Amino acid sequence: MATSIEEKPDFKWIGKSIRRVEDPRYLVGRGGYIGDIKLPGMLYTAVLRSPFAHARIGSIDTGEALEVPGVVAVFTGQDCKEKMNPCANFGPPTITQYPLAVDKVRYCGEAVVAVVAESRYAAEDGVEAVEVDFEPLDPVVDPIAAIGPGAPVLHEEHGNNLAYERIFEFGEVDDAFREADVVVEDKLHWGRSSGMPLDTCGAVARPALNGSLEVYCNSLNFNFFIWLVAAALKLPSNKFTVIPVPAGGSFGSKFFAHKVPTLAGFLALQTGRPVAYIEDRLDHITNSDHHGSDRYYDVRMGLKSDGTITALDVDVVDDYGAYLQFGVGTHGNSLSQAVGPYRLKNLRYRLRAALTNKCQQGAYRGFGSEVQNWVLERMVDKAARQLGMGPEEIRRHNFIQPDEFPYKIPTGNIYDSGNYPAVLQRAIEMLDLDKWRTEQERARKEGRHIGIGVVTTQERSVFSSTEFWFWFDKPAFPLTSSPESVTLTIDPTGEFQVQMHSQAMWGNSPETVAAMLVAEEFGVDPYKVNVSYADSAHSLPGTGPGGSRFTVMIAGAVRGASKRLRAKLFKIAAHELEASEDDLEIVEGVVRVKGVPDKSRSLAELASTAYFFALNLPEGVESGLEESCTYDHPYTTLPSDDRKDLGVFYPFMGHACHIAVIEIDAETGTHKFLDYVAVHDAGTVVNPKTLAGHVTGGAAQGIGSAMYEELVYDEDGQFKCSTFMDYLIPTAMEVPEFKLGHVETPSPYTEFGIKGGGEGGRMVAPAAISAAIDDALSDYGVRITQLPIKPSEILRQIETGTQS
Amino acid sequence: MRDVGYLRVGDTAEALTAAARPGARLIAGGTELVNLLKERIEQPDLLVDISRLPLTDITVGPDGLHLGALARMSDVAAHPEVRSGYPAIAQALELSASPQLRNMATMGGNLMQRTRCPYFRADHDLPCNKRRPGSGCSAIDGDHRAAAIFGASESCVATHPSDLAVALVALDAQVRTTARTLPARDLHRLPGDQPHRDTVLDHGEMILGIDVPVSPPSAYLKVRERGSYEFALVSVAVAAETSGGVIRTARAALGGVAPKPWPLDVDLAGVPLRRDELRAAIAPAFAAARPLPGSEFKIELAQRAVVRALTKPIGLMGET
Amino acid sequence: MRVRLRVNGAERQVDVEPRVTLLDALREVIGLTGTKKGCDRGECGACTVHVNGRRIDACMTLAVMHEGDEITTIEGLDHPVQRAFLEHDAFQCGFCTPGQLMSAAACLAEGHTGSDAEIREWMSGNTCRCAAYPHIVAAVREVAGRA
Repeated sequence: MATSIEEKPDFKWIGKSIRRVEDPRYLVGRGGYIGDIKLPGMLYTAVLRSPFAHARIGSIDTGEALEVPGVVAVFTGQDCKEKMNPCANFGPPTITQYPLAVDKVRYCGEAVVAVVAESRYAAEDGVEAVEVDFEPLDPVVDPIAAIGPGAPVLHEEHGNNLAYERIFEFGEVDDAFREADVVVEDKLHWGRSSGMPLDTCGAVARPALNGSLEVYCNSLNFNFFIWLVAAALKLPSNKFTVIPVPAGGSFGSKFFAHKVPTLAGFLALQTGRPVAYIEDRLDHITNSDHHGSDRYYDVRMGLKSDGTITALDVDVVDDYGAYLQFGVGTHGNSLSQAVGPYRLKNLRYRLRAALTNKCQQGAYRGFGSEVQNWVLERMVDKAARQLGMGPEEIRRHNFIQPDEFPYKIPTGNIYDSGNYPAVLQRAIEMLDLDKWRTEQERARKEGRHIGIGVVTTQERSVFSSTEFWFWFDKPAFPLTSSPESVTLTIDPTGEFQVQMHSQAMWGNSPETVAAMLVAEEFGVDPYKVNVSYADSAHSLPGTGPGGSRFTVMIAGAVRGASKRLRAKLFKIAAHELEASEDDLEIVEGVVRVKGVPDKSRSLAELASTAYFFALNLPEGVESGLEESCTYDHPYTTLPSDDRKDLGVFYPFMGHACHIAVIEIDAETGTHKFLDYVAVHDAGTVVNPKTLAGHVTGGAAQGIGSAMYEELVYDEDGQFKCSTFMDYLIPTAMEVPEFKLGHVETPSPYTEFGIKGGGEGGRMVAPAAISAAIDDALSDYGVRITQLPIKPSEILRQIETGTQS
Repeated sequence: MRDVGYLRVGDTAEALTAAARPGARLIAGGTELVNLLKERIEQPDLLVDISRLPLTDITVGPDGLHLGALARMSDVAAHPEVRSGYPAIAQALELSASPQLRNMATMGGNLMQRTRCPYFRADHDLPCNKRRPGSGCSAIDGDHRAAAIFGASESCVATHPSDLAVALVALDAQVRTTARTLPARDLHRLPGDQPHRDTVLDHGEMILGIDVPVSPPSAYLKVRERGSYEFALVSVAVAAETSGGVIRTARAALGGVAPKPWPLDVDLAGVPLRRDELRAAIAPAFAAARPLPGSEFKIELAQRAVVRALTKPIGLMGET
Repeated sequence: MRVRLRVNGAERQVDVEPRVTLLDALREVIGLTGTKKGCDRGECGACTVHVNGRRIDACMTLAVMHEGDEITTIEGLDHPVQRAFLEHDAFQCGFCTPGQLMSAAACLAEGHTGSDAEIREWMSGNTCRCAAYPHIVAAVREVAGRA
């Protein structure tokens, strides 16, 4: 169920719910995923995963494995170290990583040995026959203890387990706390979950001609970073080509997932044959590049007695696991919307990144911003309770107002546009909040526990690359580009081709987005537009999906390429029609003279001229109809040298209000959703149907992170969630019918006013659910301070009246 | 998964001969054994495929319900007379696994599931006395949320996953094998110092069927974190006759709390169907509970579940 | 071992080791890659196929156990619920979709469509990480005639 979005008289296609152009292939199982690729002579890989959290690797005996029928070769970390460079890394250079562990294993599940064989079964037989002599070391599991004195060190070269520490201070924090009437404090813990797509990461690498290597791969963002993987494999970047394979879901987990293609590439180079390494579920769950945030907070919030929030002091230890591939970028996401939708001026943010014997952290839908949202909303709710204010009352009181945009927040990031009171109001009306409050009271008298959670959070979109390095005073590579490109071709018969320069992630409906935008520009049928993807040898600059950037950036690139293509069409048409270019227009695929509809040329006629009749072209016009555009991030600024202002790095700021109504069974600690409203502002909505899918999917994953999913390591660092019976993903039973609504405040900085909306659901739901549970069990003094919330914890709090 | 021999058998005699070989294992639905083969927890030499033996009968007569060992979970759960006369069985089955697995898994196979614990099922060979006798128990010092509160030993704290078995114990069913007939409550054994043995059956012994006597009204209630497709935190099956709000006879068993379906051995005759009285009546059965620090909550939760199963129509958690 | 299967109406002889799952036989030996491998443990339903008219998880059974069985995969499915999925946007990334469709067709045939709650319960063996569940339920509901 969704409210209709605003009419857009200026647009023919934008804003229409259209069926996606990608869809028919799914109905017959032809999504074209990495596991479906079979090359002639292809070998299969299985890896031996570490059974220990922390151990020195002694001798490795591969002799017996090599005798196993079908096994072709066996490789160890030592082979990698001898023949390649360390893997791509955005963290400290003292923390190095290879696709197979060298000298030491640093988490349970880390790949130690790769066996390549004629079949996956034979490769697994080979793994079983490998003998590794591990010398166990004391595991480092608790991140706080990890950075304390005396903890065993993961990376000797780094010297300790503190991978990063810095305090950012914006405004006058101490003064603000001194002047505050009320200070609320809390300790909060956000547990580790991950994107966990059903399609794991995989790569098929093939030695090709001239010493080059081709890698079919469903990792995203390769055009941006490809040279880093080539460098790891000691290949010149022009001898390493990635052929993009659609990702069957990523949710962060395929964001520049480097270990899989690096390993497949290494194995193909060593064996000289095509090699597939497709993670099985265990590989992915224990050894992916992308476990999600795992944070421990000490937070203080200062307020005036009227509820005005004046200061926020965040001290966070983030358990990054054993490697720091992505640096601490997930906290850049937090800082991009650190103050939420509130007029809060004073912020201190202390970050310590701990190294522990767990799988590394990477990206998961929200990339860390969702955690900051949860923390902020938890504190706002706590303050409201203390001040006796309603959840909507304290929020309204602190909202940045619609006339204050563009609004610069203390960290330096800009919020481009918004109307937060309108979003809240729409959600309250859609839910009928008063009705539910009455029902809640009635139920309470019957001994039932209904809770209503109202939260309002930001939903940043479209990162720029300064957030990768503003952490450091002397960054090694202060990148400022994060472009996206499109090549638009009208073929000789007048049909449209769009070539993307980044991977397909089907969940993004990349082809629908591109086709709708082309349809909007040229008045053609979007279902007739064909979309393809350039391999990295032929690609223009592209960053790839991630950080809710795809639609905004592709729209910019399509618009740019369309403008150029239209100019060329007009030049040719003006010549043929003996008219001025300024007098021409395109209507429904026909170029015509304004006001004289029969003076016209169809696109097919113009294309025919462009490709086949050079003598009919105006002077200086080349044959063909193809134009490209590389669209750079439209609003990036540099941070100040003292990092008191981080610059503009995530400015297209969506917003959302979720209201969850939950009933808790106080005898069992289990729950049931009674209602759920989600209102989002993602700027101009391109396709309400697909956006609804994203909000639903994001909110469902928020439910997962809030109540079911946790990647658990025990005190010995043993991984306890190696199956989907232990790592519980919401099924159809757990995901309620969401009532979806939209408010649209177009961005002044993007084409068509679009903002990204792919991650928003997950940035809001955990806070709404936490608030609803608190509210349902307020008689018992329950307060949710850690996620996921399990029935056993709810029962414990009810029983003991103490918070976790 | 290691490769393995395979033999499809045509009749029970052939099955028995094959199953008696050392290293032989019976396979029917496969949903349990294939999983264990993949984890290399089970490494038999020969799979004896009994899935085509004619043991799929579901019959209801004046003496009760008879289920062939190879009757599929979905077929038993869907059977109208099972649903009406033995609802605890139908409910236990439908609250198990997924529709696809219920189409595959059999009665006998369900009972023959191994007890379950994340360390036993781990990706690699951790210390686990079930996996490698004598290697130790990782769970005792590890995470306990799934651990048993009854019947565990220093060797093993895993719980039995079968919902069906819990219902069968409450319904006083008998299990017929090729060697004997025994009460369902005696089929599974406590780990003691031999946790690698989950049942009392001998190697090569095969379940032929299950006999359930005519049952008083029954119900099965399962508490779990996810609304579907998950093992129980705790579950309870009850079969009770009541009159005038007072229990005349009742039998109950618990799941998720012990290495086997745990019979609730208290006499409930004469107890009024009211929360406080029921709590008082069942409390003695919980005096023997020996939880680990992380499984303590199950003691209270299980008692609440028993009370609810006896007093309310199946509620929030047990809805099908 | 040689095993004879009928896949989507056609006779297929395959030569596989006993340990090879039906899923791997379909994908790797016969070359029908429409059926997906998500977890390989019967926990996600991406590999759902019909065997003799019943839906099962192809990853949890061995190919050799299916001598003579009638197997339908997504490549052989022709069912109104496919169109309903299209109309209701019952997918995003498409990876789980073959399994969802096989399960949905079976759910409809079984008649487990009396209410949305019933559909949800009987589709709960198929995980959709994009969480298109409300739309999947709507598609099944429509074909069941309760739209």
